[in-house]
Amino acid sequence: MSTPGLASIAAPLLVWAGHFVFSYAVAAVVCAKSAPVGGLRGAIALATALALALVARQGASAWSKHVRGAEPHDAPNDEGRARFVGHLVALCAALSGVAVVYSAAVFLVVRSCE
Amino acid sequence: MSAEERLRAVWKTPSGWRYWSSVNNSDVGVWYVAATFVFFVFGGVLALLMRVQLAKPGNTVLEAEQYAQVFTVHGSVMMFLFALPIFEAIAVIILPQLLGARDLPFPRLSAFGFWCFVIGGVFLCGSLFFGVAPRGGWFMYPPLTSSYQPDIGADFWLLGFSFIEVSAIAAAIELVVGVLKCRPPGMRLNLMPPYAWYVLVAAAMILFAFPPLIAGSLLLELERAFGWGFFDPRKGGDPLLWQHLFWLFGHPEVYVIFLPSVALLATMLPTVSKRPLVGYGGVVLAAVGIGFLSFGLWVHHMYTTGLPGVSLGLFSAASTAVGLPTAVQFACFVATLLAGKPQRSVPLYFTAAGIVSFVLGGLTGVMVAMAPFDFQAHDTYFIVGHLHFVLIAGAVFPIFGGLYYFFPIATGRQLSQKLGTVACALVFVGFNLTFLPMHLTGLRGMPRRVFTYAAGHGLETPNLVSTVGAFVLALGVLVILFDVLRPKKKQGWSPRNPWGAGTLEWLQAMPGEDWGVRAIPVVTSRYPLWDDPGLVARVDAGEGYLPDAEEGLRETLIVSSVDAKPLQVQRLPGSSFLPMLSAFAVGGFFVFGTYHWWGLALSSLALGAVLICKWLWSGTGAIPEKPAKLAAPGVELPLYASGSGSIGWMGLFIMLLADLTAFASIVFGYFFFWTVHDDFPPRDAVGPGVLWPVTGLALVLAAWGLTLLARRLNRAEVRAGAVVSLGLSAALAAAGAAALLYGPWVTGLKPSQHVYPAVVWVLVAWAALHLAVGVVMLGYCAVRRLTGRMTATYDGELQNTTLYWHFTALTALITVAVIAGFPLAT
Repeated sequence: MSTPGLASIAAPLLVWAGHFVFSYAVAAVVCAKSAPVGGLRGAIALATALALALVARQGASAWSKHVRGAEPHDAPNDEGRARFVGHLVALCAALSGVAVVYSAAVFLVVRSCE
Repeated sequence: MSAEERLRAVWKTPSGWRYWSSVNNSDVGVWYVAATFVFFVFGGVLALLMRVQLAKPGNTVLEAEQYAQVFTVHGSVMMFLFALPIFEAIAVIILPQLLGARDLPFPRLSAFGFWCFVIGGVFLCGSLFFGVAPRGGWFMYPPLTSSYQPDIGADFWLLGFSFIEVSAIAAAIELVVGVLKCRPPGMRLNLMPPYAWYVLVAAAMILFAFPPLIAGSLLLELERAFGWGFFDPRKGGDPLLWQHLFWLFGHPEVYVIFLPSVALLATMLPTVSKRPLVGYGGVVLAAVGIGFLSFGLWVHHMYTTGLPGVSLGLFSAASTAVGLPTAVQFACFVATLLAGKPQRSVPLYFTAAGIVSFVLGGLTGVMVAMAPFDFQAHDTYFIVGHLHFVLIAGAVFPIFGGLYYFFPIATGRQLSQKLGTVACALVFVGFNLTFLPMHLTGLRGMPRRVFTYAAGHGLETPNLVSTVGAFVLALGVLVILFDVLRPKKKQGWSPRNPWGAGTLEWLQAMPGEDWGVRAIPVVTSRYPLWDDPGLVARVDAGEGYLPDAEEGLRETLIVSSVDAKPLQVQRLPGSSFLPMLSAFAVGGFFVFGTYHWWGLALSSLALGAVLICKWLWSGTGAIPEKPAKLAAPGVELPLYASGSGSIGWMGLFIMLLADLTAFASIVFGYFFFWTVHDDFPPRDAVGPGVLWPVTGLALVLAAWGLTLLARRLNRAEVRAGAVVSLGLSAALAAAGAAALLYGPWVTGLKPSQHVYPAVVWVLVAWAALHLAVGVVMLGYCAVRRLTGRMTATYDGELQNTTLYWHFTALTALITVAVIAGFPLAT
């Protein structure tokens, strides 16, 4: 179940999920408890920087596995599988990065709980 | 007897009335598909009734109450009894074939899931004929479905579907383990057919999407039956909690419906285009990416509930982000068609119709993802148009295409190309005539779920067109049904691999044998039948893994999940009535519960528990007669595995993840109330105290420790020590459960007074129920050990029980931290 192959594919998207849940929970609590919204944007900025750094690292590491070697992605051997998974993880990291930026952009545009 | 004859004898489907005891995927899968289509036709007839009623303003075919029942049952049937189970049904037939496996890893679980589904479905649909059907819409919002509809209708929905959700989770476990562990040797992750990827993602989504609804249904049923006011503002509850829990399920669920159908497109497209899928990596990315992102969309169903603007923005952002992987996969599909040489065939027609229409539905989806637009369109016919576009084009068209494509696999016969073409044209035209005008009807202001409308608002023509369209669509479905049911004896068997496909399911001879595949081949490419022309002959000659059944037992191959290296030969259980009987007994709990006959309900549940224990006792964990056997020339594999290497452990782990998600949903409820209330827990409220919850936790942790000790002693051949340890653990667990329940009891918390005591009681009862199951499992292990059915080496039961206890200890820990710890922190 928790083999490196499957866990690494899920990892970048889990970072997006963590960022999303954090943003949602912080916004919900701050707005419900009438706390100052200023702190909210700081917290989101920090979480966003952290999330982007994480997916960038995952993506770069996966991409380096993908460019190593010359076997095609559908080669029936370890190298083919490793290159394919590297490629897939890099794509997932890119998608996660874009999705994190989408979430963070909301806090730039919407500045109140109204 | 030759190897072939032995194999045939072992996998033979029972005849006569015993046919219904079959658990083979090729039988259960066909029953499953047939049952879903019966429900589909039933839901379709209800749709036609609604369209007749709406054909002209002020029509009187249905009364308001009847109409409410009809639209509720229509939506519920199409979602829960057709769209979702058809995914499981098709996968049960196709997946083992596609993976060159003999069967799925837990055949009796598939059969159990099927019977649960049929019982729950018949029960819910039956309520309509007695005029007592649910009428609160398929998403059952309280307070409409609680204080305004106190009659039995909503109970049918809540209990009937909770039962069906159990069957969905059973199927999900089966499919996840099936994809990861039952592949042919050599089918590494990079060679897995896209269908298997999609099934893996969709099944994993079920595990996290369905539990919130199970938790929500439990809370709503407790409110309706016992007055625990989770959704009742007079008691501190909040109806919005239901919306959160429902859509936490409901939105991912849409993708659970959509992804497996897209998987059918990704399976048929390479065949009809005569070339490999373009952008395999992009398609897998889309499957995985959508699987995750779709969990961040649920609030887009709740834009008009007054949530803070930032929250709406967040969900709007995720709703548009999910369009990215969706666009990638459809670009890959269109590219495959463009780069290949598409052959005229019914699957191609349905595929093309699906792609074109789904893109239109997807675009209106992006429109309603924008909160300001949704404020206008919410609860109008625009939404009805949008959702039918994505669901029919995204799911039903591919399923019809798949029906024509895969029909020979299930029956050995082909459907008619002519009838299929006519049906596709009728369905496509009828579908657009029905649902395209609804966008206009909605923009002109017609709300959904009204039983009639007034003349003079420009609604007459689009409604009439929709009604005509619905009958054209129905005619198309009728043609398909005729094609499926017409006698086909004269036309002869289908040729082998009739479409010239490249994947393993088409290894099958026509008609197929009960054994699935003659021998399990080694796979070295994504399209083995295209890349290795000699494969079919070699498999027919019995070259490959497990070509024989020397011991007269059903077997399949278990491999490693990433690189598909052969690990074990798994013995599979054969035909049995136990899954069916267990389903009826457990079903009795839900049926009797609906009528609040709690004595009968609990007896039925107890009977179910006994039957399930008997099933486990007789069908699982058998100690093999020898430790290993030759699975292929020169490859000896063990016949038994326990702990994390066994499929039973993996299945249980997956089930416990789902269970933990349901528990987390109730904890979410607790903190939801804390967020929306100024004081929660209320300042003057007496909680469960600290003493008894903490005592209970200490006992539970001790029981957990003793379970671990029992496992260690058993491994060290200290039989008596292991059994004593198991007994002590069970006693401490029972005491722990009692202490947890005593906390709110002794402080006099009354769950019907306020939501705070109610949520504390639910958490405590949840933990106690899990402890009770844990006690049964400990006892089961002790008896297995004492009777020699479990040994130091063959200790799968104890390994699984330990895994269960990890989760149960965690559940108790979280429960106590929330009910006793959190009030202290505030």
